Amino acid sequence: MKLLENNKKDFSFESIYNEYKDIIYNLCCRYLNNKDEAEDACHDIFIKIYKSIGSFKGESRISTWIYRLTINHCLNCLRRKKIIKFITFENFIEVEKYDNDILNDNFWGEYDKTEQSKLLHKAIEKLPEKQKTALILNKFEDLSYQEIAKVMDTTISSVESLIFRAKQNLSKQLLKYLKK
Amino acid sequence: MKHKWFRKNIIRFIDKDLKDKDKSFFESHILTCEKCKNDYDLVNNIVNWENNKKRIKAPEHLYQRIMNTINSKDIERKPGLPPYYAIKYSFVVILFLSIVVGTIYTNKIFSEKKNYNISSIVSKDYHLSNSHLSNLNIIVSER
Repeated sequence: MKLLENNKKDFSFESIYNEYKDIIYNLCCRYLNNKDEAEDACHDIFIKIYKSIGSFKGESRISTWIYRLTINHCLNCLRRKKIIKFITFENFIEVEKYDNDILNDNFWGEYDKTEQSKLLHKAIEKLPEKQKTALILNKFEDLSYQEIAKVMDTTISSVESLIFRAKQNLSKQLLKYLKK
Repeated sequence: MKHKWFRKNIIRFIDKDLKDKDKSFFESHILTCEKCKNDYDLVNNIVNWENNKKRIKAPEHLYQRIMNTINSKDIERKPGLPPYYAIKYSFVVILFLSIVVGTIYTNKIFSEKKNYNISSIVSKDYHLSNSHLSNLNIIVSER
């Protein structure tokens, strides 16, 4: 296996793949909520990593760079999906059905059979992009506020405020679903 | 108002994010308000971060799929600067060049204007002869 050369370190693509495949795949799943889309996204992210590892300056940790790349790619996928839905008028037909049918099996249902877990992920899905990112990185990936700030290219205090608002919105969202 | 605040902050209470004062209000409110207690129980039953942390394994065939794409398309790795830096630095270079060219051009215009003013004003307004004009030019140049 060829070595991907970097200014300061040498990273082999295989070692990066082995170390980060599950992290990237899980993040894609949490964002996209669909097995096939998560696999496609994961594939594209690794191609991006392969292509641009040479431009990685080594100023931050490689994990920070990979998290940032993954999140940006997933958010782009979600935006593209929204545009396609809007163009094909899927929104108007499905929004109401989607809201009333939140307990239907989604991607997480295949792996985690509890209704609680499905409901939690559905509520997280409804959060604004930045709040969702901060909450996922903090609660599921166990990143500190400082690491999240680096990944999101923002300050620690704004991460704190994002997580604060994310938790408040999540409470409201969950109660809304539970009382339906 | 306090019910609304209570419902909004259930997850913050579960995560132990509340300050002491808010926490004690929260705890006393659970004891007095039946409706809010039900809401708390519902949310508390769902929000369990530890249970949701477990990782799914990436598909086995993914690595082969990635390597097939890399080999089939013969993807080139980007050396050096990413496009963002290339755009940023080219913008800086263009700005610098336009300042230099602009300065040279304006200097040229003003120096031409200065020459035109000396010769034309003196000859037009005072109707000096060529010999006087050349003497004046010598004095100006000496100064």
